[in-house]
Amino acid sequence: MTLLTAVAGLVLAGSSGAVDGTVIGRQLQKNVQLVYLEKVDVAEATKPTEGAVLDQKGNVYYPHVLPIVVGSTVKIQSSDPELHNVYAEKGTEVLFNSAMPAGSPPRNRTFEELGVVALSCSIHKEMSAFVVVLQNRFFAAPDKTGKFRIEGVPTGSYVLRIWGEKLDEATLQNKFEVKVPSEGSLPVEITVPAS
Amino acid sequence: MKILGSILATLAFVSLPVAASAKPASRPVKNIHLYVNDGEWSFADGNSTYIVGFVAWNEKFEAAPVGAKLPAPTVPSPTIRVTKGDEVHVFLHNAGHEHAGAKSAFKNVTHTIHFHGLDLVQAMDGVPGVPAEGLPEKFLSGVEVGQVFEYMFVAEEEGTYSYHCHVDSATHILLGMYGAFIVEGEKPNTIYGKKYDREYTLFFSEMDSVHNDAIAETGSYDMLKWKSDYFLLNGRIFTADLKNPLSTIADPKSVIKAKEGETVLLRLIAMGHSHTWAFHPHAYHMQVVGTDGRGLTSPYWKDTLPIVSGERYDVLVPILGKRNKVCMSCGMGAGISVAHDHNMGGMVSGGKYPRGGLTIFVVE
Repeated sequence: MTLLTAVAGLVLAGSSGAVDGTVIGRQLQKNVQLVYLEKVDVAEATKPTEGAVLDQKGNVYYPHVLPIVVGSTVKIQSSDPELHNVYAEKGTEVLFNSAMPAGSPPRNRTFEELGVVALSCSIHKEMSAFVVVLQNRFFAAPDKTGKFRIEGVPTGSYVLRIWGEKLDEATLQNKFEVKVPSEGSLPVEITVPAS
Repeated sequence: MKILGSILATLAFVSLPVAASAKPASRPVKNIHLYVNDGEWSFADGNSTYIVGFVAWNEKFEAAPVGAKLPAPTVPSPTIRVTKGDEVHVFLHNAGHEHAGAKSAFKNVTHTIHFHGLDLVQAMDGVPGVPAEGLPEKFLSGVEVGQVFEYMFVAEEEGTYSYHCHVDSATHILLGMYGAFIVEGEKPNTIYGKKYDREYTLFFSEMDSVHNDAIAETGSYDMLKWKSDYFLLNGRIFTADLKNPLSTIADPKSVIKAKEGETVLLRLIAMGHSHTWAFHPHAYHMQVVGTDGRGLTSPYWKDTLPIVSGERYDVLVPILGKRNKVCMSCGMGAGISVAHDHNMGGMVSGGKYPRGGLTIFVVE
């Protein structure tokens, strides 16, 4: 079995710090698309994301993964000269199904609940995207080597979570404790399954 | 993780089993140098996986200079072309596996080449562990890292063949260690005496990226769990994004271009785990003129052709011009039409349809 391990270190800058981490293991590096802090009780961190746009271009959704803070409005648009429909599902619940003929104006959709909304197109089966609705703005996408950085995190203790469209439920349930101490840095080792 | 670059050519030549180089002969001699190399292979959907393949230093398959950086591996490995009657000398250099993890048991494995369909004697057949006259003891288990082995044979029958590693075949083949081996007829632009204007080789294969990555990390995998997640045509998947440079339809070797009135030879080859491909051009029937390196005395017509791992089919596709027939909506004349695997399991890669073996005919 592949050892799924991530290592994170915390670097402070005054009353806030940056979470620097590395996802370790080829499969985990490929499949973790997002890391995020589960809950941060700072009002500024929970403001809705501004200017979120989801485009359809060349039969591809851009971006493929769109993380936003809960309550954000996403402008969904199409740059394609053909018909698409934006079919949005959260689990088994269909949130909306918007037909978007060529030249149709953008649709604004507000996401009021935490969770992952899967978007597809019934006409072009390979089109897919995910809107990941989070509690706060402290999230990051690891690069191909598994490295990630979440900046400006207030001093305190947090739970780090991982997300990826191909991760199984057991892996998604892992929780990683990270601490931003008042002084210095505190390297944290994270393993999956979480230890 | 994408790994770019290549590894140093290992030229620690050891004594070769019979001769260090080809001797002059009354027949034409073709020397082919193939090097084992590993690396990362990117698919059109943004994913990538570890692969191992045979690479050529240059298009002439010449020996690499000492210390030269080898090209990165591709899927499939380079196509080898010889002519019927050639005396062929293939030098297999096991240059190692630089991109396998330091703890991977795959780091120092041996390799061989099996020339699939050429009906060779055991010493030249590439199957490890079988003693044979002319096969030195030290090559019994295959060619070790840093060593070179020379395969020799005469290409006696024209047709389409393949080559692949035969060590721990399930893993080594499925990692990508295969390529096309083509024996051309003595007359150019003919196959089994039949004329053609253009030819394309369509190599169908499949991969389990989880398996490949596990081999890179640890060198082992529970093969009962092997399950294809990528179905490849010339190493690529199709994506509807017309600008995607990794899609089959961005590959000049995979897009079949022709002009009205021409005849196109398709060399269809399959290599895989358990999938059966069902190649289906939408606008044309194919005349099967040969299979598995032999011409057919009674060619036959197909619009959907099943191909299992190891098989090869040589088919001629007449591209009729509109002037040749009066009809409505006939698939002929200038235009674009699709050709794809009609077994739908093979049209899904990375969990998405239609990202499998699909290409297009572009007729001018």
